[in-house]
Amino acid sequence: MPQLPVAVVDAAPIQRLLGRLVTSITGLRLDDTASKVDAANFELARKYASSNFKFHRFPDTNSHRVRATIAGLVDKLTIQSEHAKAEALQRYYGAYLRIIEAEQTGASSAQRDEGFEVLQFLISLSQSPTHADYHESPVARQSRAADPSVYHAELLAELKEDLSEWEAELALNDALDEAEEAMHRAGVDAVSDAANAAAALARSSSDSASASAVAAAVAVEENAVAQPTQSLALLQLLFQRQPFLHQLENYIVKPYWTSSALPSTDSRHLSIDALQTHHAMILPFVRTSEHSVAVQTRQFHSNMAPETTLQTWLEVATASTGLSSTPAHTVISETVLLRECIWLLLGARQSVVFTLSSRRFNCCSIERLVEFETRRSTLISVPSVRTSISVPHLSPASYAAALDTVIRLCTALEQVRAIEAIFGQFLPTDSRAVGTPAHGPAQLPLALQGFAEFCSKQLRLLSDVLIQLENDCSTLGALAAGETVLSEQSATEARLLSDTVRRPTTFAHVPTELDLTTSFVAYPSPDSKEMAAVSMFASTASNNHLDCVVPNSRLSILALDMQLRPWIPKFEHLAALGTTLTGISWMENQSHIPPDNALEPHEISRRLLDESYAMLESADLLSRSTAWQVFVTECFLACASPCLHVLGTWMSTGSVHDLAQDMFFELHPTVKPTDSSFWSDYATLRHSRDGQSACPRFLQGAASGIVRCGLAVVLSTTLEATQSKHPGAVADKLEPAFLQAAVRSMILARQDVAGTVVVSFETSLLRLIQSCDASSSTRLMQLLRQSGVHNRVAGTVACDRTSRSLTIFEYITAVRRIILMEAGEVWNPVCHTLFSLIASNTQWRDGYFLTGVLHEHLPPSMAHLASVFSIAVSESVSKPSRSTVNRANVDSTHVDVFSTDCMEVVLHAPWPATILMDDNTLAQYNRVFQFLLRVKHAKWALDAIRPPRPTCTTPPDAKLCAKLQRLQHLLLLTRHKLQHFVNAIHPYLLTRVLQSVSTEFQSTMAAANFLDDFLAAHRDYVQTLVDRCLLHPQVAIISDVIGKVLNLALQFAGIWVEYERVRSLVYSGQAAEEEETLLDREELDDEELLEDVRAPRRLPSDTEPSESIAIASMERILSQAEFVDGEFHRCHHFAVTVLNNIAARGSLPHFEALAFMLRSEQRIQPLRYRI
Amino acid sequence: MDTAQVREAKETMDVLFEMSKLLDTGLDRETLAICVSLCESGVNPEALAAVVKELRRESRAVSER
Repeated sequence: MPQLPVAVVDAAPIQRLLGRLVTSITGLRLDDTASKVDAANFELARKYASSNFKFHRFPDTNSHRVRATIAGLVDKLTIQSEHAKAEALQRYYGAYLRIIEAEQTGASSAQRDEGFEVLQFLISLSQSPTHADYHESPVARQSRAADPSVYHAELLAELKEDLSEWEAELALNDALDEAEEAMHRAGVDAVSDAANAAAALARSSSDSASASAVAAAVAVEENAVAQPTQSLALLQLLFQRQPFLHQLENYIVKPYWTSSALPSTDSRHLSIDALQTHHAMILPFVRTSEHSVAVQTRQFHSNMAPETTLQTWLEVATASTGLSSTPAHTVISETVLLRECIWLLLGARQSVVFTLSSRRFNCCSIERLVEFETRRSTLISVPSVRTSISVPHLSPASYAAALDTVIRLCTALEQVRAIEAIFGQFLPTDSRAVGTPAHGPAQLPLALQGFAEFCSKQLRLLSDVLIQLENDCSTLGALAAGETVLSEQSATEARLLSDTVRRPTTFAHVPTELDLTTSFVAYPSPDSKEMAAVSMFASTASNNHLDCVVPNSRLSILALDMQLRPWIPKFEHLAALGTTLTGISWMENQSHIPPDNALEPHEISRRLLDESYAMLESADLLSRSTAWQVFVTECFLACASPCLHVLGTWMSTGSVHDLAQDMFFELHPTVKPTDSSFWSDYATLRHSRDGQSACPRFLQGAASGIVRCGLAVVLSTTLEATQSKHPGAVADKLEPAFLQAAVRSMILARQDVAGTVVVSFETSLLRLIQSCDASSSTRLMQLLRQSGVHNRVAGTVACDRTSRSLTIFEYITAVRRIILMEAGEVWNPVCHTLFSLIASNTQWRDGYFLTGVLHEHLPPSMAHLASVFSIAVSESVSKPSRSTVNRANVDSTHVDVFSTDCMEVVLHAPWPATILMDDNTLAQYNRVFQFLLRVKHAKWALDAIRPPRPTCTTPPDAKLCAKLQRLQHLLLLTRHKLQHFVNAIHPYLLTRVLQSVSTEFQSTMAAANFLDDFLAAHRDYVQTLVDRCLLHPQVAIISDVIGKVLNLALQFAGIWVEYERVRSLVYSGQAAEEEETLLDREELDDEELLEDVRAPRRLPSDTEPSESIAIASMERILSQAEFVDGEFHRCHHFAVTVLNNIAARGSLPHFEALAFMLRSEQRIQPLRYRI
Repeated sequence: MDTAQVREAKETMDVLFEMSKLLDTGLDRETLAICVSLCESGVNPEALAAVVKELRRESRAVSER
């Protein structure tokens, strides 16, 4: 499309177009009738558009992007199954590309994007192509039907005045040229006649007579099918003046389109030799006409319904007398042969090409099931080929090979039809689901029902294919495929001369064109004369102002063979399944049915399913075509799905609709669910007479599970019903065997088919246990324990919040309070006693003593736990090597913080608490307990350090006293730093670990209804505790550092004791010591024991203070405190750095709070211990 | 105008109108012809599409008021 450069664009046309655009879109006008508001709005819109265009005045269209967008849109439409729209878009896009390419011929590469701006505009304006309703306009459809590049109606109406006589002259010249060429090729005299006729017809195309003929032809053609006589009149009118056309009428049109031209007296049956020697011009027409005259006529058209067509065919064939007296040698055309084959496959019982012999069949397999009334009268047709038929251009071998496919398919088809006819009458109606009872004398096996439905479906599919082929093959179908249309000139004339004709339309063409073209395409004949005849015919038709387009559909016997061949193995497979597996025997005129051949229903189902499954496996193994695998899979699923539906009902509801008694197991309703033999006798597997299991092969692995699952459901339903009838004390009425069966069914069902069935059963059992009284509950629990499955039921009991006995929930709560030290009222005195003993270096590693202390401090509400928890002390405790501090400068009497790791809490829980609290779990709990004990130990030691009260005693040496004060200040600063660290760790454990993890655990426990969920939740809980308490191996380095700091705290506590001793030496006042001791006692009642144990370490009051000794002691304390302070800073810096890095990574988010709490201490530098 | 050109232009318009319908642009034949003329006059197609959308939106808003 021409496009001006931007620089030279004239603004005036754009403004004018812009005004029209605004008017077109908004309806605003700028004329005298417009109001002021509209005028103002119009100007506003135009200014807006102008400014927009000016701002974006540089075009940026990219043809590649447009192409990609269109291609993507076509793909999208195709994906969304909008094939019509996709095809239309692709077609119009291609047409537009052709237009712009034609305009750009010779253009430079810089101009290649011209024309794409309109597409770019449309794409930019596109809203939702995939959701829009698109209906192709009639004009476009017409033009597409003829030629996309020709626009008939409107364009020709506009240009009718411009169509001058030169077009007629041009057509005449073209016709003459083509006729001459045809004459040259054919080299026969008849060609000149045909060429002259064509030229004459072309020459007369512009006169009124010819035009009226064409118009009449078009008008009549629309009703050609319904009114064959009108078609005949049309053709008579068209061809009446030419000898050639007269022959065409007599030999082709009349016999084919009228029923009055039935076998004539002068009909001949030409042999192949005679045909080959016949005149080349006449040969193709004679072939068809001879056949038509000799055989029959047919009245049908492509739009006729199949049933109607079939009926018409049968009527015509029956009425025809020529069928019974088929001549010795008949020559037929390929089209006739094709149609014979198609009609045979569609179910025609009479044919020219084929003979049908009928055979009776016996259906012995289902004799016991049904009184098959039509058994004696039903026949199947076995086709065979008449030997007196031949097709001119097919050799006998080709003819036989082509018909072999049809015979094979027809044979299998007849058998499948018979099977479908037998079993179809017993199928349920469409309104009912598969597997439900059907009307009929008896029930077919379910697999057989599915198989019959599948056969019916395949028959319908093949019928659709055959009907489509018939449509293509029929006269009008062939013409439609031929795309024979009037030329533009003819259309113009038709439009001009006939008001009734609105559009150029398809013209009824001679029916032999298909024979000529398709036959030679499929089976090229070496006969050059026939080829010449084809060309001649085409050129003649062309000269008749008929654009003879070569048919797109190459319909031939070869094409038919290729279309039918894939169906042969399918129907042979179905016939084999239907005959050999169901016991139908195709025996001609055999009235006796051997009784041994009768099969049980379940045996029929099993054999059918096994065989179809074997076919499925072999198709997979042999790697056959995908279509075959799909077919075999569909066949198997069709056979198996009714059985699977029944099995699904059995497993979900406990009932079986086994009316045909073909399932692989049978139920015995006489056995009650409360009977002890219920589990073994209620459902039993069926077996055939030879002892073979009735279970299909593909279900053998799951057969027992399926049965048990259904039994579990039956038990569950019975439990529910029993409980609703007799609420409370139900267990007393239940037989122990019933409970055993219930538990056993639950366990086995759990092993085989886990799912909702088991959940339902467990829920029922839980309700039963809840409704039991104490004695029944105990008896039930004993029963469950004896059955070896008590763990599962214990989980159910554990989840029972309303049970009166001690549940696992209570044990878990007790463990949290004791082992995780949540019970502060218990552990405060115990820890004080323990740490005091440790500080006094008294023997404390006595489990009985510690257990006694623990039990002594248990509150009355937890008194029942006294027999559950105890404290054990192991002799050998391995300490972490990295946590061992350098104690070179430390007093040898110092106590290690890891010394309490030898302690562990032992839980003596009865079953079922041991399910949760096994040895491993308790070991994990004790790891947390020992860590908590370490932290509490360090915290207790630091809390015990408090600054001494000022004494009234005057110090003997002011200088020494000042040094002592300075030392005390430094020690208190170090104590503060250590206490800050420990106080950060301790609340972190209490709040961020114990409290939060327990809260999560409680919410998880609330959602757990079964033991597995319960165990998993508890396992996660313990593991989370261990991880967050820094006991995971990945954070062992931090754990070691924390342990080192805790040890430093204990060391510092020892240093502080030493400082107090030196201070007492310095002041050496008995009064002061006593006063201090009294004050301490008043304030620290709980620490009496500590004061008692500290007393022996103090210097005797009668010791004389010595200045030199005091100074030496202070120096030693100074060095020890400096060491502790330095170590603490290194450990603290390391811990804070590592924790910050971990928190920054985000992998362990719970450490973020700990890192934040420790961070404030980071800027404090080590103290300078100088006094 | 030359007959061939008229026929060619009409043919082009037919194709473009069908594509316009396929792409769900909402344009009628007259508006499409105007827009095609504008595109041929050198107007940026995307700007033109934006203008059309805006005019539609404003027109709809005015009519709703």
